[in-house]
Amino acid sequence: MIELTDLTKRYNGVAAVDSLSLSIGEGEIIGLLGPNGAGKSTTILMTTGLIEPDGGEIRIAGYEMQKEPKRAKALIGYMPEDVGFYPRLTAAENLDFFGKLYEMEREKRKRRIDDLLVLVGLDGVQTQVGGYSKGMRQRLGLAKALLNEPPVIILDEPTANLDPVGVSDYRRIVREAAAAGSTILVSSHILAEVSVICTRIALLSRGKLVADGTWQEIADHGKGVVIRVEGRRPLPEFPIQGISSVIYTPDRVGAVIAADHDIRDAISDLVASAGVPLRNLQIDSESAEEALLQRFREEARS
Amino acid sequence: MSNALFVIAEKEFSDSFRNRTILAIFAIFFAISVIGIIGGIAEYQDTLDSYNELLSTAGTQERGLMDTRPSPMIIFGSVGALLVTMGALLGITSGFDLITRERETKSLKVLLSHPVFRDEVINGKAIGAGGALALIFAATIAVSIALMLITGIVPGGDEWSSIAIFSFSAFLMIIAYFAIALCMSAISETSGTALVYTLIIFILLSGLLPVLIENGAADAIAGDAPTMPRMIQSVSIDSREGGRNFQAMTESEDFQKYREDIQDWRSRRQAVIDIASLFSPTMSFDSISDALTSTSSMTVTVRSGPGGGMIAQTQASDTSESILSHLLALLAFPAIFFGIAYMRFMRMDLR
Repeated sequence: MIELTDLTKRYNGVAAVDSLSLSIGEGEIIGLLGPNGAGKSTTILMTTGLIEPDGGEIRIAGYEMQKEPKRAKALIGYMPEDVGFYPRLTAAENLDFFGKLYEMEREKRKRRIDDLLVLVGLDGVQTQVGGYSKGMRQRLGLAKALLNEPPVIILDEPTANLDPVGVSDYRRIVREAAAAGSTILVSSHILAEVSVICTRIALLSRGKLVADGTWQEIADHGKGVVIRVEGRRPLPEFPIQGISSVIYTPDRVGAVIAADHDIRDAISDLVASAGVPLRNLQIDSESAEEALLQRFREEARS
Repeated sequence: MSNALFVIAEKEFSDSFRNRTILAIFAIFFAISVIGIIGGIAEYQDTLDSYNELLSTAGTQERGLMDTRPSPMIIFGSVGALLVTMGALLGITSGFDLITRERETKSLKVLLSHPVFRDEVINGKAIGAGGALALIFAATIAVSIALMLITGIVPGGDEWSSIAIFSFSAFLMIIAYFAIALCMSAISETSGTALVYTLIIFILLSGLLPVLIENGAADAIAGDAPTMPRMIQSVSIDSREGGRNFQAMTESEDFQKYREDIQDWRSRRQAVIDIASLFSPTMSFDSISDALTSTSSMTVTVRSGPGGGMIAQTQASDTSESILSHLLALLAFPAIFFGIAYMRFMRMDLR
């Protein structure tokens, strides 16, 4: 759905994005991560057609952004970081204006706007957007990104100003959109947020793609993983290759296992063969986040 | 017109009527114009009464020397100066934040991420805001003309043409300042900076340039005025009310030369002022307004005839060329400044 090929952008001779190639398929939720100056914003601005690349190609559902910008943009729903609207218009009036730009028919536009305002919890708010809080503007931004029922949704720091309820709503809406077949590209600094919502991560550093895979694949790169196990009865010993340590709880129904790679399948088989029903078996996400942070630091240092 | 261009123009048009500042200046512009027209109507009636009174008492020879019937353009002459200030402010208010507002509210990125071309955005904004200015201006002119007609003043064919040219040039002047404001909005980071830059240009073009030209540059370029010969006796009657310049003098070679020299000097000086005024929308509009509304556009020279009697030579000033050049200058201003705004906007960095 999104094809970036050899994408390059230079500012004053310095490459902000350097020969970036990335292919994102239908229904994927991909997180664009990287330290400051990694090239995330430039990549998003080029993908949305807001800035011209110096080299390379951007294709949205087959339409090349540089050659057919209107067709390509018509397939994108974009919410920039710190999204802005026309302050003298209400939420519905703002969405109506943008809906006209998508050439949506009047009746369809009205129905869609009503539905979206309900979806993001802004129905019944009749005041001008100028009086909105940042969180309300962000909710409206999400509604705007979904307005044209786009096959590609690009969200830049989508939860930065949302309260916990807003974050929960946002996750639900994004998952529903992905389930309906939309391709979603999320740029965020909140690693925990990315880990919860994204099915895949692209890690950028100095304008280059340095890692592309699932959250765990990237975090695991050259690092160990921490696995938490909980049984309904005391757990057996774990004579599995790759384990560096096992710490049992006093009653032995729980254990924290450090391994050099994801061995959850082996653990599950072993526990089952010991006749112990499993209550919980998961990667310790805090440790994964810590590992990813470490990679961030390494990339930033390099 | 493409869909995006139309949608953006439509929004900008309706935004102009939501903007309280624009509405306030429009209200003042409208009120001042109407008050000016009412004052102009009273002035016209007085002038007409004086003319009719003179006509009834004058003999045949005096009638030949009398001014033509007062023109209803006197009415518009009385609002010209008011239009310059309030019209320019209206144009500036409509344009100074057209682009910066989008940047300040961070809506520009959102707007440009939609299926629109950049040129459709700036063209749509200019068309929408310019259209609102046109509507406001047309309403003001329509009310002014209605007031004239209600009070029984019906312009003739030439006068309708003069009113049309006057209105068109006034609108072009407003659009010129609108284009300057739009240009400043495209090159500035904030609306405040854009407003300051625009006001500086407005003061420069409408206040400082005319003063500098009239009081310094024109004399410096045209040189010193020739000195009148001592032995010559002359009587100069400058009648503003009659609208004609009468000069009576004794013939002599020195005086003939002086008269030619002073005419040359005046021509040179006027040429400098005319050329300089092309660089100011205010001065261009003033020149057109003066040419259309001034009653002194006719020069009557009275000379002694062969039998000792007086001969009046009437010379109609050729103003159409001057009006055309100033109209072209007023068209050039929006074109140049919009062109700069366009180029700047097309290259604007959206990071």
